[in-house]
Amino acid sequence: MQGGAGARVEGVPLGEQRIQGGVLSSFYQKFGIGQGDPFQVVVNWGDVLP
Amino acid sequence: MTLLGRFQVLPLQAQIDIRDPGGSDYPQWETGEERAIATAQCIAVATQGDMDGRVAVEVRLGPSAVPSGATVAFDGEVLLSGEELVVGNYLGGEEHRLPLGPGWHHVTVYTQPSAAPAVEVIVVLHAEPPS
Repeated sequence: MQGGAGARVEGVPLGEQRIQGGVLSSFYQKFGIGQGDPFQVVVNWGDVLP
Repeated sequence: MTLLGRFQVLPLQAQIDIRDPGGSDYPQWETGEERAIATAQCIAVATQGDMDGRVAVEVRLGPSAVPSGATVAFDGEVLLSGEELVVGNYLGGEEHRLPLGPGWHHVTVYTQPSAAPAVEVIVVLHAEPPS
């Protein structure tokens, strides 16, 4: 967490939580990722990666 | 009316789901303000957030009186590819399994209170298809 002058903490609105939850659930379901399963995240920068 | 189950579900990401455990088509929220969204094999129901505590979920089979103060969040069908219907929260890995049998099942989902995020969800399974 990064602070500083004017910094504040706010909860994520419920509607946004639901959207995120739907996306995550779909992702886990689509790729068969269960509770506790490891998975790798690769950021693809286009022409940077082979 | 037969009471099939009553559970306390932790609603991670402010939702619970009623689904075919063999499905792979979790529905997507458009605004996040819908009462419920669905695909053929999954119904996601909007609830209060998990920081506010667990949500009571009751599953009934057969004719059932409309709960006082409740709102219809969903009325339609869900398709089961196997024997069981799962009620819970996919992200949290919470699953309450109910033996219903494969095929289409007419489902009405009520939530209450009607004017605030749901703290109680009543799932009514009907013998007859929706009209």
